[in-house]
Amino acid sequence: MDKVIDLNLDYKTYRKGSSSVTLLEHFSLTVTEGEKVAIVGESGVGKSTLLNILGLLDTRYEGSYRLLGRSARTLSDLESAAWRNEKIGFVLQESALISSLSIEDNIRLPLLYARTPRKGDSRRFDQVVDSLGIGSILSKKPLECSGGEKSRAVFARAIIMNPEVVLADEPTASLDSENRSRIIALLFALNRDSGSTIVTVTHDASLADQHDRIIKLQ
Amino acid sequence: MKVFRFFLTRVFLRKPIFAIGALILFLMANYMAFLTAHSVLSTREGYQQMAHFDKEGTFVANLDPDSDFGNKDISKASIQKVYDRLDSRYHYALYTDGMMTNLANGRGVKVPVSYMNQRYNDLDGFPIAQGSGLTFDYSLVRNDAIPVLVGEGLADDYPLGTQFKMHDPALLREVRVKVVGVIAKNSVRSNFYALNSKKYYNFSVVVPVTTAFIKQADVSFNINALNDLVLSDTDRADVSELGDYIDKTIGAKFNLYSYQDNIDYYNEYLFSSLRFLTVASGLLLILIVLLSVWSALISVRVMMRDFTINLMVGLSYGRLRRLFYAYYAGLSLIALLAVFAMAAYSRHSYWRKKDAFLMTYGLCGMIRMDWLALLVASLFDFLLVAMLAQLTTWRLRRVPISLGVLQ
Repeated sequence: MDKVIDLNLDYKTYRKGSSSVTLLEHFSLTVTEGEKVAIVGESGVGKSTLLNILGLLDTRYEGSYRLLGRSARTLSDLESAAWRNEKIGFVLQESALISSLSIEDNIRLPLLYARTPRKGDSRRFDQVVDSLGIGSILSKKPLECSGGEKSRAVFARAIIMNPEVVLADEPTASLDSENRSRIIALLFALNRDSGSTIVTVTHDASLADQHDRIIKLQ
Repeated sequence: MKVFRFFLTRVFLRKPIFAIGALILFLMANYMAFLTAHSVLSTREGYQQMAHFDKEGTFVANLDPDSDFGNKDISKASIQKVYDRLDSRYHYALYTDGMMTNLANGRGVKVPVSYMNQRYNDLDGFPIAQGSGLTFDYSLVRNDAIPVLVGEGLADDYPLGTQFKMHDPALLREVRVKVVGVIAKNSVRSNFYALNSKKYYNFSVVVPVTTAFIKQADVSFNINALNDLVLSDTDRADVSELGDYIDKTIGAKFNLYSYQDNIDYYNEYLFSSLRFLTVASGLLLILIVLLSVWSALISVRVMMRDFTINLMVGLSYGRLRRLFYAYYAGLSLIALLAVFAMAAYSRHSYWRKKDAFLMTYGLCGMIRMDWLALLVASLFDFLLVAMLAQLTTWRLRRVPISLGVLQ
């Protein structure tokens, strides 16, 4: 199996107030194509930071990182943006929606940056919307939707481009059991049907158990 | 274009207060830059015109502000004595304007008549677009046609070679004149003592003045002509003697300033006020720049999530920078167009009011100086746009996308 993620971190530092915090010292991670990996650990150990590095959202670290066989350091600003658009889907918390846009516009946002208009975008949009059951809220603004609806909208935006890698940060946090089950089912269906590689950061032990591998950060 | 339209309607204009604020600041910056550049250019033009009199032994007359005399008190005989003395002892350049005549023309403008003698014409004659310059070999006694220059605005009604009759406001009678030249478009003269104050000669008739003309002219012409009299090849003692003679003869106290006196005057009054204007404008512009930067950074902070979510799903920083450039360039263009409209309206208003001395040719009456000042404003805009676009992009780069998304 091809390595989708090949990360060898020396360390990652960031500033917290006047002090400097070092995380993920000598941390390595390899994820193969189609694998489902859960990242668990106490708060503050660097789970989300790790996800940001994997998703090319954070480039300030020491070490090496190869994504889909390409060194992340060699990606230009434009390439990095294109990869975030086409190859990586981010499933974040429900609040990661633009409040002034309708749910439909939020979901369609990645299509705006597609390098070439792709055939079947409309069909793909309908498919995603149907599978998530959010057809009735498309014209609503995020503030008019429930937490579950917003989470599904965030999920829809993450998978609209049919990404090769899906990075999920606490995807079930603050969801009721019905919506939680729905999101988990959708995440794994994506892995099963499209072969997407899934990396999930979670505190939810039962969700972590459903992954192929669990990595505990300390 | 699709992305820019999206950003314009869904991000930049989502909080109109920021767009309106930025537009107002751009307007202020453009207007200040335009006004300052215009003032400096206008003063420089006047200064360059004054340099025509930058010669050793040249003195410019000016009625003392404290001198109180009325035209009625002065007889033709006494003022003629002054001119006789000038003719016999001095080299003088005479120029006066501001007298008006009714001369039919397509624009319906009341026509100003300007007068200059040969020495003035040699020193600072009008640039000619057609025909020859002024000639002075005519005789009022023989009732020759007086060879005159006309402004560009009268050239259609009174083309080169045309003879016509007009009421001469200096001679106070009808005279026959012949067009021997057309003054170059937008020819301008600055006031000696207010370099920013201009007169344009697009609708003027310029009459050559001879000794005989001065003798026949009305006393008001003779007095007016003394106001800006220029003496050449003389010295301070002779000039002082002339001043005393004028005072004694017609009871009017004239000051006669050398070029150096005038330069000293400019340095003392005009340039210090110009310097004050420039420094004040500069400080105001700096304040406007700081306010613009502050407002741009606040708007980025308020809309952080919108920007970073777009960055997360495929917007590159390079493209974001271009979006900021386009947005601020659009605002600056609107502001520049507004300043252009104000300048054009102001110039065009002189045409509506038929103010012959201020009617200028150009798009809506705008002249080279206006365009240069607009160019300065647009250069300032360019710098401001670049500064704001770079700063806002830099600010967004400093915030990790992952944090911005959740703000």
